[in-house]
Amino acid sequence: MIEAKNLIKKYGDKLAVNDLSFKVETGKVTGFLGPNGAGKSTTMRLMVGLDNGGGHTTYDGKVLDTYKQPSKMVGILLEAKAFHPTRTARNHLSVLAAQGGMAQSRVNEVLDIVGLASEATGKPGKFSLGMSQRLGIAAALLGEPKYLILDEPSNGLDPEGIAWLRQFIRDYAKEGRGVLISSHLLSEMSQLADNVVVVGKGQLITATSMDHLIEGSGVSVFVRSTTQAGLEKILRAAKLNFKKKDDGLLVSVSKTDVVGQLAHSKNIVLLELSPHMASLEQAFLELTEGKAEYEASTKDVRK
Amino acid sequence: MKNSLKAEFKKLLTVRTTYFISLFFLVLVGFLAFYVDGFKNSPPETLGALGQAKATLFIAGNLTQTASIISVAGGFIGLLLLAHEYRYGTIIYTLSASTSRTKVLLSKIIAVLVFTLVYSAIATTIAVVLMKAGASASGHSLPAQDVNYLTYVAKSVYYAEGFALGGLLFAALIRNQIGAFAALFIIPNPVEGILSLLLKHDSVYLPFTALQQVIQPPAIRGVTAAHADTAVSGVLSAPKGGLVFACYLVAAWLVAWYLFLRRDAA
Repeated sequence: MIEAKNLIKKYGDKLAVNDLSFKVETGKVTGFLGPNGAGKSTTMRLMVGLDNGGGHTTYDGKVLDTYKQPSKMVGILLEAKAFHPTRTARNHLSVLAAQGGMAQSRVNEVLDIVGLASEATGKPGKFSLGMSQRLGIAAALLGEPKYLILDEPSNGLDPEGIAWLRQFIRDYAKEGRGVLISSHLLSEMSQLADNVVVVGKGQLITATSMDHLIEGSGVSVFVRSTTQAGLEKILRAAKLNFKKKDDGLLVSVSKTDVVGQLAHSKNIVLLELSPHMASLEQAFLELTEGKAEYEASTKDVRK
Repeated sequence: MKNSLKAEFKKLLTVRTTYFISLFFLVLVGFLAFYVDGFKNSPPETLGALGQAKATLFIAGNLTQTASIISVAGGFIGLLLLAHEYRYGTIIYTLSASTSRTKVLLSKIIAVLVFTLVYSAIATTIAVVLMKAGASASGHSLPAQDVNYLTYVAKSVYYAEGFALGGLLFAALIRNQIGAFAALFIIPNPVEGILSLLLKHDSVYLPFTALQQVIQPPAIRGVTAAHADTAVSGVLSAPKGGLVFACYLVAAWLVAWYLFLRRDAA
């Protein structure tokens, strides 16, 4: 298990990461969510000792630099374009393999895994963002690490690439390894992460399971009827909260049965009755409300 | 440490910049030695002590020129080994894969020292051979000289190593390629040149001026500088100049080491 404890990072007077603690379990994918400027990347850099700050991070109970080969404990992808543009992909990985004390034969293996074998002699400077991400993932996998820390790895990947990455990360976690992955693609995260750590302005907002995060934001029932006025009347009588949504109503109850039975008792014809799970975006926006570092103006910019 | 060293040599040898710089400066050294010095400007044979002195100074001058050129190559390669890491972000892999930042820095220093040692030794040898070949091609045959080639190669190597470690140092301190290049170009000449106007004779204690003393051709014993046309001796002896520069280098590297440990990766 990775345990980040009381991580702190200051830039001058500004606290970028404020006493942040959380865990990354083995066998699970942990999503790392937060608005822009929330301190996600800084936290990841602190976790692998790239930045100096307060607190510490342990990997299976020990700090990273006590391991003889840190690359075998954790693989990182923090920047997609972290390579020399004219050093070939194979040489780039070969340098990293030498640095981490890995066998050179591993280079071709990881190129195969990420689907870049045919580009092994290509210069990464000419790679697309998606190919660069694949090279970054290959670099992270070189040491067959127990943990992966990936900062927005799906950026620039095409749909096929995203599907591959999703499956790969799931399989990786299933092998008993741990993955911490940040992403701004929240819908993507809802399909991938088992647990989620949400941060805002450098502070922990919540660390919970993905299911709990979505459920916690409220489950409601969407109902559409031919006689909406009548439906509203019986909902008020039953003291149920609701609000209009599109051409129907969103009722604050967890089960469709309640609304269905009420409508049936008054002979109201329903055209649609379905559970409405809050999207991760909704849950995320509710949680991080007021915690965004940079918020766009709501003023209409059109003149 | 072994892994870090291996990686640093791979970094040096897997980018075309290293080959381009090495080759460019080797060609320049070869051209100047063969054509400009050997073929065009080699002294006509003069008998006696004066002829011997002229030949000796001629070779010494050529070796000084060679050392100056290869020091630029060493400085560039040393600088780029680290500056590229910051420029392209690969420093995050270098630092996260190693258990100690000191080992990373030490590996870079050793890689640069070894590369520059081999490169400058090869370049100096090529320069001597081509210069003699150029003189021979122009019909001049140099009389017996009093040149200790080993000493000159050692001085050239020291001078080039000084610049290579200087380049690496600027990259470590400034962490920006353009800034480090600017420092490498500005500090040894314009900055120290201006300071020398203020310090006058004491300017020989400035770091790169002191390093320059290492490769200054000495006045030839028994022959005055006036007779030999070009001999200009440095105020400091070569070992003293080397020592003064080494003191500056060690002090600056201690600062760079401290900062390398304390600073964020990029």
